[in-house]
Amino acid sequence: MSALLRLVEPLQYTFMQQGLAAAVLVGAVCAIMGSFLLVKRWALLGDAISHAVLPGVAIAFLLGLPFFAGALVTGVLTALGIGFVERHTRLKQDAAMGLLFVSAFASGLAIISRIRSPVDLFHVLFGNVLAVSRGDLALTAVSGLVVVGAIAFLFKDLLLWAFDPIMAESVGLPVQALHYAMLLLTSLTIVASLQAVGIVLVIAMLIAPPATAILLTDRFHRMVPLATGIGVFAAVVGLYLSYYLDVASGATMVLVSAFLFSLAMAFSPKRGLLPRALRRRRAAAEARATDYMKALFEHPADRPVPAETLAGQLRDSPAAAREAARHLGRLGLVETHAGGVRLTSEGRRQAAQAVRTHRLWERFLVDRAGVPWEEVHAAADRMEHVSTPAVTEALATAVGAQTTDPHGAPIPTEEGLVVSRGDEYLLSELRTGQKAVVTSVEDEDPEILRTLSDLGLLPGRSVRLVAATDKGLLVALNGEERPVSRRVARSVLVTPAR
Amino acid sequence: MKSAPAIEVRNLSVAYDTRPVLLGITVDVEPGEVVGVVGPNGAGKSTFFRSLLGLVPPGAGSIRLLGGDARVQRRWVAYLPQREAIDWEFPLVVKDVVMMGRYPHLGWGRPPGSGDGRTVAACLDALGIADLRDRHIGELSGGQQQRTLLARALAQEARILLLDEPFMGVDATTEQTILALLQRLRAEGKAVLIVDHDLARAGETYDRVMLLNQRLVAFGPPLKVLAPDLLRVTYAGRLTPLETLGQGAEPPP
Repeated sequence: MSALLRLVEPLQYTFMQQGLAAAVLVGAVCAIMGSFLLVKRWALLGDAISHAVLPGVAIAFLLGLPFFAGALVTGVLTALGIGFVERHTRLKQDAAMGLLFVSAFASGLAIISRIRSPVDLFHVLFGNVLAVSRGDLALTAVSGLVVVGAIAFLFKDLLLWAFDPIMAESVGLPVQALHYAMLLLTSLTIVASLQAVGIVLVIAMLIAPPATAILLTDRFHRMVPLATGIGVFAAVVGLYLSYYLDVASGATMVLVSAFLFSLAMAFSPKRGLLPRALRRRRAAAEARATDYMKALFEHPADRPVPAETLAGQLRDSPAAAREAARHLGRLGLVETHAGGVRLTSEGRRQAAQAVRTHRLWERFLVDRAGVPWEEVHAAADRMEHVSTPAVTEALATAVGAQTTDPHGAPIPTEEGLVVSRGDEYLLSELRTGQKAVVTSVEDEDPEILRTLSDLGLLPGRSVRLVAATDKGLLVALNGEERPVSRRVARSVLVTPAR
Repeated sequence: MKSAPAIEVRNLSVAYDTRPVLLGITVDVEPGEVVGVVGPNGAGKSTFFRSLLGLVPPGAGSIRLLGGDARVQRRWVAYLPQREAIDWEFPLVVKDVVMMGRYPHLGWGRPPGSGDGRTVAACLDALGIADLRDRHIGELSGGQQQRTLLARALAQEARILLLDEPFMGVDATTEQTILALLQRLRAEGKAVLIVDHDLARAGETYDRVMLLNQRLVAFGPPLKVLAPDLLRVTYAGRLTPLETLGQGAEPPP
């Protein structure tokens, strides 16, 4: 059987035609009403009212009245009762609601169990859209039209009242009347949905479609039509599933709604879990690629660098370094040679920009913001990844005529050039008795930076190697002789004095 | 003929249950006047605003707005709530919130028209947030949120503006924007009341200052009102605000 036939074939039955009409109506009306309940944070009140219609249905049966009249009365009375308890006791709305709606529900159960009525409890509780009669359908249509018409007429007033009740009241909206109108419309929506989804499940049709829509849009004006579409879709699909799988229709409609919500939660472009995780991963990958280019930038431009060397420099695995190289290669930022990888001219330009931004941030944080010297590296690292070129140039203006970062490393110019400072050696490479000037120190490890600070072994200072042993060095600084460990000595670059 | 005061409060007293919050307040605020409202926490500043807005009934006394019955005139009153009073998760973008300023001028069941759209656009421009118009309000900085609410108050084309701590926790740009806006409102003949805790700014910015602590301690030109003895009465020995007075009471050079 073709898919189209599967959709059309059931419609030869009257119960299916009426069920479809009811499903469309209920899906739409619940979603529209529910949009307001959701943003007003009245979702649970909707649940309370729906349970509270049960005694109304029972009493109406006892008195021989139409069930919707009774349902409407007890629904509204319970909503008012919740407000009354809230105002006149210390209870807050949640407790007042829990107390009243279960009491109302219990009295409904009590009456139905006593009178052994033909009221089918299962249908009232869980609905059956396939058992909707012509009369029921007319009732649903009329109630639905009243609800939608009232909301369309009061749309902007209800929206203002939901968003900012203080302003609504101060500009003269009758907020009390709006409050009661909302209670009445909520009750009416629930009564209209009773036959299709029942009083226990109606809350899902009220809340799930708007909750799905709010994940997909930032504007209430769009959320309402979107929720309506989702609600109708869920109700119709639920109806067919119920027909073909022979499952209770209220349950299938709710399950389809819940499924759509889970889809939105996972895949919503702006707020979905998956797109957010992907954005985070992409940002992390970009940050890693930049670090990789910066590491390459430290090496002479003409010599390819083995992946293992870079991995060591970045404290990363060689596999991760090779993966980063492949990624950058695809972007045309590095080229791979037999001996390793090398930056292309575009890669070199971007790397220089990243290094420039990083070092300017360090300079700025130390000079202008007063951040301790040993702590700026990590902060600058984060700022660097979120800075635009305009920010970088603003920083350059702010720090003035500085040519090095606080650790002595040169700041590349805007054109990406690095001023060469001639020969640089490790402190440990000096000959005994040789004098030198500290040009730069490594910038990452706060522990080492603190030690250097304490020793006074800072960029620009003169130093003389007094003696070298296995354990470390003895250096003269400001006329004092100080011991320096090998590990610390490896982080200091010097230029020998002539 | 002199036009009626924008706000006329006569002998206003307000109590919550039996606890008095405001006692015998009498003030007139003229159109084109920017008035600072200064007083410690719990002094009744918010209650004073709420009475002007008709949200709490006066226990005694009367309020007239724009020379008429307060109930009729209230749609000409715009209120800037404290930022924490707003649900910033609500599904609205900036221009939607500003459009709400137009709602009091639309009849029942009438949606906003193109004229309202132009007003909103002008107000967004005035507050420097035109480029944020399609941004969700939850994604704004504190200063941008404050400017959005101010744009809404402006869109209301109110003749009386009640601003509850507009400078609270905003950036320097927003502060400058608000100060420029006050100049403009003054020039347009609006009456503006502002709750402000910064006595230095109160001394320089406002035409008159109300010192409020349950009663109206003083009401007049800032340099007279922000005097040590009056402030001591208002703040009842709490010294923190007095310390900023040194700069605040000096006339600007």
